Amino acid sequence: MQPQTPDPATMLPLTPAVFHILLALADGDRHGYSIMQEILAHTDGKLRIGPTTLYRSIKHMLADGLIIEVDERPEPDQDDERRRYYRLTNFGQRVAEAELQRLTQAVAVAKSKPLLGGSQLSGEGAIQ
Amino acid sequence: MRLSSPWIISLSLRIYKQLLAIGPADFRQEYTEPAAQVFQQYCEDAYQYGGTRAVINTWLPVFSEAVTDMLAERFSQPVSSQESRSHMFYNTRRAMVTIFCAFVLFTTAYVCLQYIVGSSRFSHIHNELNITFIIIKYSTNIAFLALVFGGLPLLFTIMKRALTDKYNHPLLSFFITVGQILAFFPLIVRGIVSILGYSIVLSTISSAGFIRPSLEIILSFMFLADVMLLIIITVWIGNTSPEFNVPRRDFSATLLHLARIPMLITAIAMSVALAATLVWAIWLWALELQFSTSDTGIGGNSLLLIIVFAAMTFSCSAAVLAMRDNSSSHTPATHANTL
Repeated sequence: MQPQTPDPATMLPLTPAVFHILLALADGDRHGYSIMQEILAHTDGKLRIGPTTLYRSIKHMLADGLIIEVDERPEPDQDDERRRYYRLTNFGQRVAEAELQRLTQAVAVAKSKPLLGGSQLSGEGAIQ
Repeated sequence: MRLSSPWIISLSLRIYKQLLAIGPADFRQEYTEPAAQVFQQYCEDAYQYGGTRAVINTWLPVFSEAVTDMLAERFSQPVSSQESRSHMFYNTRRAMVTIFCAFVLFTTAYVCLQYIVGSSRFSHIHNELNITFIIIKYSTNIAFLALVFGGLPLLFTIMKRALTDKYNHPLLSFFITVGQILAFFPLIVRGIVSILGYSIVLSTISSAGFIRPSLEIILSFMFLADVMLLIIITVWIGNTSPEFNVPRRDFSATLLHLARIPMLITAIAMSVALAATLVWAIWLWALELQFSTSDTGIGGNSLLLIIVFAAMTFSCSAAVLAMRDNSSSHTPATHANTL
């Protein structure tokens, strides 16, 4: 009998740290510092995650099965033995997709609001 | 090949590792090295970019984040399907600490009870009173022995760890560390001074014979509060020292499973002693009413007697609740949305 995987929706909403770690690992296996650098790059430096938050998030993500630690390592001369490498799991990918869908929906709602630059038609709930 | 780091990076790393020590033992054991490696790389990049000043600029955000994260990690109670085992052990450890604290309070109350009635022949003159008092005495002794023998394997683990680890002196690993002494020294001094002060004031005023009853009650409660403060600090230090110094994984599953037996015996023996104390008090009132109410008997200590009963009941309830929590099952939860 296959072990039952939890519904990704039960993990939502994700914290920004967890979501961006999942995004950073979507391109392939990375170690801690590389994840930090990737997050800094794809948020234009707006989201800075320190080493403690990073490893605290990683600890809980490992426990929830979103990521796994991998043993494959680069050549010893290009590696620091203290580094640990992480990989996104299928479940982690599904959770990232679910979070993306949730955020897309929220962005669509925001775009429809005139106050936020949207073009909501006058109608239900609007004051004439 | 890695070149030796500038002093500012070494210093930053040292401070950072000290801050990570605030976190729980399992986190420290698992993630101190990788987190320190990431921080070192972060510092090296900052140093290349802006020298010493740039490294110092990283201190505030990184160190404050380390402190808040480690405190959050320490006070959170992570449970998930994969961690249910460690959570069970966490509960066992918490129950052990609670039962130990409860027993210290119970013993203090028992000593007070002995002091109030132990020397009086009236409290033992009837068979019923004598038998119940013997039950109280033996139950408390059994609880004490169970606690001592149950604690020996844990003590052995701590000693073993201390002898094979960085501590030169094994006693340092489970007694008070220098940091703890510095943190709690003012509190301990205050407690000792207060207790001495109250004792002197109470004995002087009582012998002069003009103390107001309300003042006596206030002073008694303040005295009791200080005694409790001292007990709590002592027990806290005694219990956190091994936790700081011995990683959770060193307490094996078998050891923690076995620790449940003496814990259960202690809780049961304390409950029996409490029941016997209540029966003894009721019989004392029924059989020796004059002795129970007069100032020449135990009537003069009625307030202290009530405090003794309250302390015994409280400690016994705490021990029983700790055992119940330890044996109950837990619902798994996720972390990704609670960080």
